[in-house]
Amino acid sequence: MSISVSHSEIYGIPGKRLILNIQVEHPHETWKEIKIFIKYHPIFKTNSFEHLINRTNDVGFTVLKTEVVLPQDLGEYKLGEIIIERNGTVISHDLPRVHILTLDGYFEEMVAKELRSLGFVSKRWGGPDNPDIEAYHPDFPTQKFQVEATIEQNYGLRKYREDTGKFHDLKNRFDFKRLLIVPLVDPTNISKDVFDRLRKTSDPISLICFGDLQKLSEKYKNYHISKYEVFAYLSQTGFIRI
Amino acid sequence: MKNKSQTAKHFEEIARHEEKINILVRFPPGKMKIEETTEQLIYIKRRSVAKLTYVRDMKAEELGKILVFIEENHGRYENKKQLIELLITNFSSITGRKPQKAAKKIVTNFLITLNALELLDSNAQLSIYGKKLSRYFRMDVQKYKDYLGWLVLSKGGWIVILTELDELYKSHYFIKSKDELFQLLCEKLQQNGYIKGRWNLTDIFSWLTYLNILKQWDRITKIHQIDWKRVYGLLRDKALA
Repeated sequence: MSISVSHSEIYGIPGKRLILNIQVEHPHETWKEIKIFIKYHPIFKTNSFEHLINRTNDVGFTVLKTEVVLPQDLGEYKLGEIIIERNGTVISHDLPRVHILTLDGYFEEMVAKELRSLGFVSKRWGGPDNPDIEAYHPDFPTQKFQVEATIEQNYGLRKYREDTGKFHDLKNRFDFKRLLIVPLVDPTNISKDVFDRLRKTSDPISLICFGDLQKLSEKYKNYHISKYEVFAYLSQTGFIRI
Repeated sequence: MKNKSQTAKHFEEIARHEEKINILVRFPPGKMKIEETTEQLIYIKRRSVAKLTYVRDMKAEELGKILVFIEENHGRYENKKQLIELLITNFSSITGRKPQKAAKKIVTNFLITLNALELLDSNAQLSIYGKKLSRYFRMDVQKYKDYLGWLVLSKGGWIVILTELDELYKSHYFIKSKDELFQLLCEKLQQNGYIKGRWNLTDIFSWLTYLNILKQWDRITKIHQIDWKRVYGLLRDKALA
């Protein structure tokens, strides 16, 4: 008997729905009944799920569906446990760990994920005294990036100053060599002053919109660009357009 | 401003969008543990075994010879009584044994076994199982052993003997001899209501050994080891059923 789960970790914001599709393949051998039991972490305030399969069908498997809605309590929790019992033999498997985040935190996770898909090693820190994300490429480990991800609707000079100021504060402590700013908004929602500053700056500061980061990731996945090109793109000073 | 808020809203929608977690539960064949197999066998035992087939004065190979004889003499008898007479008359040629005074008793025992394994129909003709087993006996000994193994375990109910034997081994009682093993097993079968009176299990054990379900008697450990893989394979093989 084996249980495999598609995810080991899930990231989401409160109110997100998690749909659990449980496909139970019927044993080839003689069987009487298969009991499926899902026990959720109390934080999810969801009743445990229980189902009994006691007859076979033409397709040779049964699909069960259940769902959970992420609560308001932010944090990292184990979703629960799935327990299967057949002819007196019981096995169990942990369900994925769930990270319930604010929308900002979720965006930071998404940026870290995109960077990972580009071959970077990235870690989300979070908190006011820490960078949003720390990232480096394994081929260039000394070139550590501080990544600041923001979902503000309008990326203006005030926010730009905040991000660059934070970079100057943290770069020695974390040994950062570059700052990469990733706003959620597209270029039309970035103020002209920010573009001016980016054009004139001699500091290792760059800005790439999240949409462009996704495009870059897509190109890399489709083998249109190499890992060196990816690194070259993200190491450009100023505004990066894909 | 409208455009700006739409981007954030859109992202929030994506963040809140449902996510699917797929869980696959599989029961790969051949990877089951022995304990699990035993559980299954106990279940089969509880479900379907109503009676045990008793075998006495008959070797497993002789059964095949008898079936071939019955098939070849189709039409030369009309009922069970005539079949018994025919078998007594040809007792030596079928079994290769010397003519015996007790031939009638032995042949009667043959018929009890044939009926219990559903190899004969109500007119004392070979049933579909009987015809299949007879054909295997003539063509392929291994298939004959497999099919007979499946018949004795399922229709003969000998799965009970194996599970009781397994429990006896797991009781950690040190068995001193084969006789003691038979005696203890007989008592267990009696206690659980599967048999009445004392059974001589010698022939049943020789059948199980011939069918490769039990391994040869181990003189050191004093047990007939059960080949669970073989048992499980026989029960699982739908081609046999």
